[in-house]
Order: sequence, then C-alpha cells, then structure tokens
Amino acid sequence: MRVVDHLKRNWSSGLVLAGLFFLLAILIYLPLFDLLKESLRVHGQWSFENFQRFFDFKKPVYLRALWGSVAISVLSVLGSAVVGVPLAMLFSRFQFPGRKIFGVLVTLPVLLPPLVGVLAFYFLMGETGIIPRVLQKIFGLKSAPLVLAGVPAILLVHIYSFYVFFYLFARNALAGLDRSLEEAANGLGASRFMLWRRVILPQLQPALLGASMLVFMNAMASFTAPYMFGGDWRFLSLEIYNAKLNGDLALSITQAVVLAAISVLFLFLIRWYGRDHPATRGSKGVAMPPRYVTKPWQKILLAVLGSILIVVLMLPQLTLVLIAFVKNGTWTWQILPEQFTLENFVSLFMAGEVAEPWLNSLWMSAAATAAGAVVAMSAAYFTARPRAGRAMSNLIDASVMLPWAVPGTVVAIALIILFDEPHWFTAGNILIGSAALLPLAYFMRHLPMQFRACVAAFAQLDPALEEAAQNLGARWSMRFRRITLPLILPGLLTGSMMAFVIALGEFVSSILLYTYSNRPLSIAIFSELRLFNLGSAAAYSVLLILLIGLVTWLSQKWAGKESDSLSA
Amino acid sequence: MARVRLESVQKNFGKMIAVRALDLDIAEGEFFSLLGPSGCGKTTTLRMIAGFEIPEQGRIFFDEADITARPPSQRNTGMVFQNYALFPHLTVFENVAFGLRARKTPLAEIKQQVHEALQLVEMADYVERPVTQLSGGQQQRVALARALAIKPKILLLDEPLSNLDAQLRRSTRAELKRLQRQLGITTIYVTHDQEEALALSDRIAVLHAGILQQVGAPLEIYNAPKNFFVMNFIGASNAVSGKITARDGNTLSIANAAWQTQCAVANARQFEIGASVQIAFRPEHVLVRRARKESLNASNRAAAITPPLVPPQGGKQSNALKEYSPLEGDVIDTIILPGAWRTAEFSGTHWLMHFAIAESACSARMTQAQAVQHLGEDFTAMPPGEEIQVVIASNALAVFEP
Repeated sequence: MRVVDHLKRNWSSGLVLAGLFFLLAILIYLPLFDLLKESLRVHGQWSFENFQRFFDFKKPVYLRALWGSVAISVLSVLGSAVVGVPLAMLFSRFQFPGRKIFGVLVTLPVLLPPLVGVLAFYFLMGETGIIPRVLQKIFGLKSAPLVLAGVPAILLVHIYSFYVFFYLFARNALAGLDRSLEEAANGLGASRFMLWRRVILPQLQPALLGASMLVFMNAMASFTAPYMFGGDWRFLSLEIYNAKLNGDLALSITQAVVLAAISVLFLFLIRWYGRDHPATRGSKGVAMPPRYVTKPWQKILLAVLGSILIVVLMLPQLTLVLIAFVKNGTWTWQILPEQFTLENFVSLFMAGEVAEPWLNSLWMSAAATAAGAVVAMSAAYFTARPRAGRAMSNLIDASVMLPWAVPGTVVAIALIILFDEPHWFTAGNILIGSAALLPLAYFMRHLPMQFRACVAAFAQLDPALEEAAQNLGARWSMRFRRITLPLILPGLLTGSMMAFVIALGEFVSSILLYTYSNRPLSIAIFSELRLFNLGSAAAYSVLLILLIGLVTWLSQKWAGKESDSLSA
Repeated sequence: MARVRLESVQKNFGKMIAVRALDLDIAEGEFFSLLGPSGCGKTTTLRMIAGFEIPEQGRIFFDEADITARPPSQRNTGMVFQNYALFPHLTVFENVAFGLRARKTPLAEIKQQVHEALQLVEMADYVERPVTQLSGGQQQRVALARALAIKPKILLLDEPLSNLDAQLRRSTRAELKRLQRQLGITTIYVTHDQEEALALSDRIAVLHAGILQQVGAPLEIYNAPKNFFVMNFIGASNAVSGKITARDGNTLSIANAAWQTQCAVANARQFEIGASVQIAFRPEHVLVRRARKESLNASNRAAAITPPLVPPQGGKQSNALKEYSPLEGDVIDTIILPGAWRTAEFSGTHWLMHFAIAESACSARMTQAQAVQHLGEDFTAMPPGEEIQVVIASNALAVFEP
C-alpha cells in the first residue's frame, strides 16, 4: 500500500493528509450528503415523494423551470460562441494597431461580478435606461424602444460575461496549432474554406467543446440575471431561492439536488473528456504568426471596429461611474441625470452604516481566501504527484473540485440544512444567523479555483528539485519551507487573488445566507437599488470594480515579475 | 569514502520488473559506471542507492551498514541530476550551501566550504549569481559543487553530461575524471553512452532489461563481451546465424544453407551439436574482397589474401593490444564466408562497407588503401549483389547463443 508506506516514512505529511480529509469531509461531503438525505425524506420517512412532485409530467410546473434553465443555457452557449470564436480568430490571426491592448480589454467582462453587470445593463438599457430614453426622445416615440427585459436581457448579460470563455479557449487552441499543418494543407492545394473546415476547425473542437460545457454549467447556475430581469420563463436556480423564501424547504432542497446532479454530471463529462483529449499539442511546431494588415483602409477599419468594441464593452462600467455621481432620488423622468454630487462616495468612507458592507466583504473574503490557500496548497501537494498513491490523489482531486460544479444556490441551501442544528464540530453552536456562514460559503465556492492554480504550479515544479533537497539532507519541513513553498507561491497567490476578487462581489449564496451584521457589498448594492437610491448602488458597484481592478493589477504585476526571473 | 554493495536487489513498478536480482560490489574510491540503453534499470538502480526508490527484495550496504530503507536525507550521498535540479529561486551560493544548512553548519564554516567546493569546479567567481543566469556547462559545475559541498561518502551521477554539447562534454569528462581521482571518492555513474563509460570508468556494469549482463574493466568488456548484447552495445557488431554441426575440443563447425566454417572459441563447450548460434564480429575485424580475382589488377592480387588488422582476442592478457601488421607478413588465422555486396559509405576516417551474409546485414570498416587493394579503384561503383568474400580474423570472432 502506497498510503501506508508514505505515512510510515513521513508522519508529518501524514498528519496534514488526515487533517485535509477531515476538512473535506465536514465542509464538502457532509453538506452535500445532508442535502441529498433531506431530499429523500418526507415527514421523517424515506420517500421519493419530493422527486415525484418535481418530475410530475401531468402538472409540469417545476419541470418547466428545468426546461427554462436548459433552454437559456443552450442559447447562452450558442450566443457566446458566435461572439467569442470570431474575436479569437481576429486577435490571433491579424496584426493591427492596438491589437495587444484590445486583446486584454476583451477579457474584462469576466472580472465584472454578475450583480454589477446586471445593474449596469439595467441602467443602460432597462425600462428606464439611458439608451431607450434617448432613442425615444430623438425619434419622438410614444414608448421607449429597445427596452431590455426578460429572456433577451438575461441572454445578453450571459453572452456579455460568458463569451470570454470561448474567446480564451479558442485563442489558446489557435496559438497551439502547428503552422506546418496549415502550410502542408496549402501546399496540397487546399482552398482557404477547405483549410478552415478540414484542418483548423477539427483541431479546435476540443477547445470549443470545453468552452461549451463551461458556459453551459455557468448558465445553468446563473442566478443574478434571472432574478433581476425576471420575465415569463422559470429557472431552476431561481426557483430554489423562491421556494426557500415561500417556506417550501422540501421543494427547494429537491430542486437543489436536481440542479446539483446536472452540474456534477457535467463536471464528470468535462473531466472525462479532458482525459481523452489532453490540451497538449499533437505535433511540435510553431503557431502561425498573425498576418500584418497592411492596406490603410483595412487598418482604419479594424481600429475603428476595435474602438467601437471597446466602447460597447466599457459602456456598462462607464454608465455605473456616471450614475455613481448622481444625487439619490434626483433621476426620475429626465433622460439623463442632472444633479451630480460626491456625497455617495464620501459616505462610503465616512458613515459607519454605509461603510460597513464593504468592510464586511473585505474581511470575509480575506478570511475565506486565506483558509482556502492553506487547504488548496495541502490538497495540491498530495495530488500533484502521487505521493500517497494514484487512487488517493484522484479522490482528493475529485473532492476539492466538487464545489466548483455545484451552483451557489445549492451550496447555500446545503449549508442552511447542515447548520440549522448544533454539531460537535461547531462546538454545539447553530451557525444559521451567525456571521460565520458566509465566509464558509465563500471558502467552499472558491477553493477549487485556488486548488487549480496550486496544481498548475506544482505541475511546473520539477520533482528532481525536491529529490535534490532530500539528497542534500533536508528533512520534510525544510524542503517544504525552502524549496516547494517559494516555488509555488506565485501560482498560489494568483489563484488566491482571483478567488478573493470573486468573493468580494459574490451575490448568489450571499442573498441566502447573510445576516444584517455581516451584509456584504453585493447585498448593500441590492438593497440600495430596492430603495431606489441609484447613486448609492452605483457607488458601491464602482468601489467594487475598483477593488477588483486593484487586486487583479497587483497580482498580475507580482506574478509576472516572479515568472520573469524564473524563466530568465 | 565507502564501499557499496547490492545484494540480489529487485525493484518492480507495477507488473514491470525494473531491476532483477542485481548483485554489485563497488569498491572504495572506484569510478563505477552503470551502462545500458534507456529502460534498462540503470537509473532505477542509482535511485535505489540514493534512497528515492525502496527495493522490493534484497539489501543495499554502505560499508557494513544496511541502508536499504534509510531515508535519502540521511544517506550522505551527493547526487548530480540529469537536468542538474538547481533551485531556480536561489543564488549559486545558496544552492551550494543548501546541504550544509540542512546539517546546521555554522555560517562561517558554510562560507568556507562553499568557497572550497566552488573553487574545485572553478566557479568561485559566480558565487552571488542567480543560477538561472548560468550557461548549461556552468550549471553542471554548480550542481557538482553542490553535491560535493556536503563531503559525501559516495558521489552519484545521473547522466550528468547528456545536456551538454559534444565539445563541452569531452572537456567536462576529462575534468570529472581528474576531480574524482583527486578526491578519491567512490563514484557511481549512470550513462547510456558507451564511449563515456569506457573513457571514465574503472569498471562498468552493463544492464539490459533490468538484468545485469556483465561487469568488468572497460578493456575486458570491449574485448571479451559475455554475450551478443554486450558486444553490440559496446561498439558496433555484426552477427550471422548458423547451426553447430560438429565439435572437436574448442573447435566448432558451424553451417547454414549458404556456407559452412570452422572456428575455435573458448566457450565452445557450452554448445550442443545442432544448437542454433550466432557468429559475432566487429566491423574493424573484417575485410571484404572480390570473389573473382580477375577483376583486380595483377599487382593487387597477391596482397588480396592478407587478412585484416586484428588484435588477438582476450582481455585478460595485458599484451593483447600488440599490433599485427598484414604488410609485415604476420599471418593470422581467418575464416572466409561468402557475401553479397550492397554499398560503400564514407565516414571520414574510414569506409564502411555494407554487405550481406545469407540474410544477415553486416558491415566492415576499411581504410581507403585497403578498399582499393581488395576491391579495386572502382569499388564505389560495384553493383549491389556482386559476390564477395568476407575475411574474418578467427581470434576476433565470438560465438553466442542467439
């Protein structure tokens, strides 16, 4: 047994392994297991009644939510592909002025928290949005045109934030293509159409499939857009929340289990597919270099198109900045707001009541991320190399990745069920209603991201380095402190900053788990919006965007410098 | 400095047996090479000595101490890895000092010993450089200094020269040998390069498919290989197959459909009559000549019967390398087999003649003068398939089981 061997030789790392399993059991398996158990119980008896109610084909009220979710997800995949893939081709195949900066800017939407994105689109194109009002005024229409609501609005928000997956995957795949294949096809007399259809697209297929699955999962789990834009479709992620709010916990749990099952199925599909289609190149060689656009009119065209693209991409954020300076309650029937003030921002830093949410978000995200960093690193330490056997490392890997597949609403419901009674590991406390639940949810949801970053860092670490240290007489603690940790730190930090940033804007599980004392930024934005304090809501959002931008910039600067010195 | 002993050591990876029942006895201060193709178990053997792999069976001793299961950090071996495994985030100084820090050596002493180790490899000027700014050859020296700084009892080298270019490899090789002699440290050297092993080692162990084929001094391995694998791996070799038709003392009669011959070999007694065998001989111990003498001019005809330049067989005789010159008329016993010409290939110092004996592809190494003498001026234009005679020095051929 590799496990036993390992522990015998190395009791300190054995201790870490035991602690890791204990944590995974309590934080990941217990909540999900409890959720599943509760879905199978009615009045204290084992029963399938809950699922029979959900899968009632004669009265498909609940099934309709499932179809709604699947339909919006499929549409989101198609829409994101239509936007993302051509962008990727444009940026990897053509050299034009501003290509580098545009290439970075198009990935920005992925950093925009869903709630903030939705809010921006609402101000911009909602019923009382700026664009419809302006158009109405210009053309003297009776009602505002182009108003976004319901399914089209949800779809637009989804495409806006999810096309980045297709863009990144396709761009990476195009960069990995061996140019000699293309040259060979050209040499054999293939037309450009044939080249794309028979040579390039088949090679992009794994990347496109991977991106499709990611977008599908994200769209299935999406909560904010359906919640804010409503419409006449029902969505599973939203119905979980509604059922909980209406006090029908059994239904909420059952729907959560169905949604979780679909998501986990997709997780396994992705993993299984990834195993058969590793992302490595089939042949050696260099990717086709981008073609220089030389004709002046083409250059101008691309530059103009790029600028329009950037304006469209930045418009939501710019709208938020504008609204953030609007005095609360002064923008009602006017086309554009007329009274501006700094007081929204001033109060963010001065008034205790107003400042509280963002301070809450900061400490809760920091706590969750710090805990996540420790757990992610220990888990990655055991999975990156089969130190304790292949089976063991697969088990750890699958366990840590599980929360990634489970939608935020499901995580929240699972935590609610688990912690509405005292446990020995909570020292007899009921965590519902305490400030601890939200950081716990953040930890659980973003652990996979930190874990992936650590695994990638470990994968780049040459096993011979640790062996060399061992050969030179270093025991486990010294090896870890002096060799392993310093070398994976950049990766760990990048992953953790990313997790921190996402936790800052987290809305989905926050809305189910927050208490007044620990209400985070996203909840503050939401309640200001409810009170029609548009200026305050926007000011919170701008602060959030600034915080996210700052952390991202810091982490890229830091990690970039680190990797430079290593590869030099 | 220590003696290293392996007692019927076996290592499995799943169902694959990487090293099978291996016995080795490496003397104190010896430069010992583990030689074989990739996957032969040489690196696994080294890693068991270093402690990174634990054998399933058998025991490993340093002097009298059984260290089979001792953790690598407590074996006091110095290892140089194939890719050097320098710590990329540390300077040259910190890399070399690492093992001393692990031993909690006082700082003043660390400085002293790091300096000494770096001087040994002529890298003292680079002490504050980040290792990522060094060239491959410099990294190799730092890796060696790092391994030596802890004053190990045994030096383990895992193909340390394979990442260097050819010229640097030769000079580093000489330096490595000098250093090893100067320090007198027991050194175990893993390589797949037979030239390296022959040049450096006191003794060589040849491994194939996890099984030890032969242990011996370079000369012995080269001149008296125990089997066809060793003969072919150490230098080039030809093999033709036949059957034993008769045996008389040390003399075997061997034949197949196309030819029959007699030869005397030391290991004749191990073969039964009727057994399939291979006759093996090196390209430098064979000449080819035209079968039809009339195609050579008259002045060459007399010389055409002289046998090739061959040392007598037997690594154990120390005078074995006395040169025999065919021009001085020393007659060496030869056997002659019929062959079919294929092509001639120029290699710079020699011609490599390709031909077939029955179905077996063979080659002979000849000088320009020999080629002209035995094959005529126009030998490069000889048509493939032309009949030739293959003259092999009988004391340089070996008979092996197939």
